[in-house]
Amino acid sequence: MNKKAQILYYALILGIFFAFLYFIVLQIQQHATPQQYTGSLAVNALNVAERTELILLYYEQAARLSSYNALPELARHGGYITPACATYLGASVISLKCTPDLNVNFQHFFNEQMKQRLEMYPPMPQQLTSSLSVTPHVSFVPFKIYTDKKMLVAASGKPLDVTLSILGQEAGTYSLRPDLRVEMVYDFDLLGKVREKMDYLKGLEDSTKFTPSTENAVSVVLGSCPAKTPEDVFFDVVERVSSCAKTVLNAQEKATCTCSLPSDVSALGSYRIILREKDNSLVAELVSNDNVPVDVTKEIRLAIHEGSPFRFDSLVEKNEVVLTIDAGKMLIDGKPVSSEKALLRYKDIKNLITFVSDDQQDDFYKQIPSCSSPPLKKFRVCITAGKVPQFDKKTQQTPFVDVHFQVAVDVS
Amino acid sequence: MNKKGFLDDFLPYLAVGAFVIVIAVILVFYGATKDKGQQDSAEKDLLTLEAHKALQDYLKSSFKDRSMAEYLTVIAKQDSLYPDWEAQTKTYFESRYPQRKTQLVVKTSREKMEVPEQAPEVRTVVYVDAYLPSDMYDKVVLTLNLGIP
Repeated sequence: MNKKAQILYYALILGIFFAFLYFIVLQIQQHATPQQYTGSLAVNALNVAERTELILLYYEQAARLSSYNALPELARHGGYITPACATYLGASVISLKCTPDLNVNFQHFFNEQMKQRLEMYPPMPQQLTSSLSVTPHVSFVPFKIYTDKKMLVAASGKPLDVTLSILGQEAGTYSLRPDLRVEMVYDFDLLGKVREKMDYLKGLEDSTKFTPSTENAVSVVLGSCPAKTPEDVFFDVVERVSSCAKTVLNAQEKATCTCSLPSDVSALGSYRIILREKDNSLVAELVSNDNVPVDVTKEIRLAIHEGSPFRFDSLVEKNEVVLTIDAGKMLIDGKPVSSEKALLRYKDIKNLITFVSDDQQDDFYKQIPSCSSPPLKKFRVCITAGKVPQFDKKTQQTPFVDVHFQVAVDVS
Repeated sequence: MNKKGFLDDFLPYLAVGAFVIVIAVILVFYGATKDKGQQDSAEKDLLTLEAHKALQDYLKSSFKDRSMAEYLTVIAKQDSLYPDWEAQTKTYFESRYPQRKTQLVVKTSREKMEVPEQAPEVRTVVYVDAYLPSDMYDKVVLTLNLGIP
């Protein structure tokens, strides 16, 4: 080889050197922040475990909210899931043959609520660290519920699986049973007391033997729970009128006595209650704003009392009365009427009831005694058992509200 | 021996020596960079672990036995029982994690709240989030940013 050409070797050596140098720099840049290090797997496993704890916290909070929503729902159904026997004026009937299992039915409503909430948990993968991502598989299976005072224990029949991926590769599944133990503000022992009250009510001879119980924990009153819907007001009015029609006047009550209507009818809203005489029966209808009778239940057209003549006042015969509200005040055919002494019951004319507006109530009228309650074999009671926090969409507040069990007692 | 002959004899040795030195320097630099990278990565992963625990502790201790509905009224600043939620939250993290900078972000379908309002300046930061069920918003997302100043 010509010695002059040796310079080409130097150039070749330098070229290879710089190429190698460039390769090394590229490698360093690529791995400047390595994602794997000694012990990274252990740290990743701990991160997955802690992440799962936060998912369990979602379960726990869902259980708390579900309980607080399930309790009023259970109470609204009179302790049943669906009316097991019958309904009377919108309330589920309890009798010697029919009594709800409150704990089992609470579990049903609790699981309905839990299902909705767990379905809202986002299912997408969550990146925890640069190398680790997890995909939680939050799915619903019915929980089995145990309660003890203010403690709720919910046992799940299916594990919560969390799939973990390291550097995009599925590396395993972290699995645990989402069994919950939640402290509540509600004392579940009250449900046992409600059951005791129901047993007491079933043993009554009739409504006149009922003794109101107003103890702090669980109170029982004859009649309806506070009305929340137009239907509730409708049934309350029907119950009062019906009870008044069944009154048997005693000697002290002379020829007449008075009955009251529900004091709070504000939930009626823009609806109207029409009472009319039809085919020698008194019929009540709940009518919405668009003049269509509301299909509340099969009891929408209710014959209050067979063969009861119906008259608005003593002078003018009427066959229809319309109850409405204006600014929370009850109106009879457009005239204001107070709930007390709103109905006049005649003794001499069998079963005659008159609606008396405020302008018709003179001093003489106000001295007429109140009718005594008739002995009813079927009647409604309201059992109030504690309070739970409830979110109110209108006010955007979360006040504590009473848990009202509206039930009808049938001792016939 | 003339000058040209000397270069001809020793230049290959010099080239090989320089090459070895450069490679050694590169390897040392590469090793140091890799160690630093591993250290940073480990630090972030451990910080993530710490953030997970911090968020859990915050939720469990601040809202123990309370319903999430109540908790949401706190966020919405409508409950007079908890008028100063931001200040309480800030105090909570500052007292328990004095060596860290924290920022809690609460996101609902309607609003986003951050405590503190400005993100702290940090050298390294990680974030972890938690989902919470809600009657008011369906669900709420809480994100804790935990940083090393």
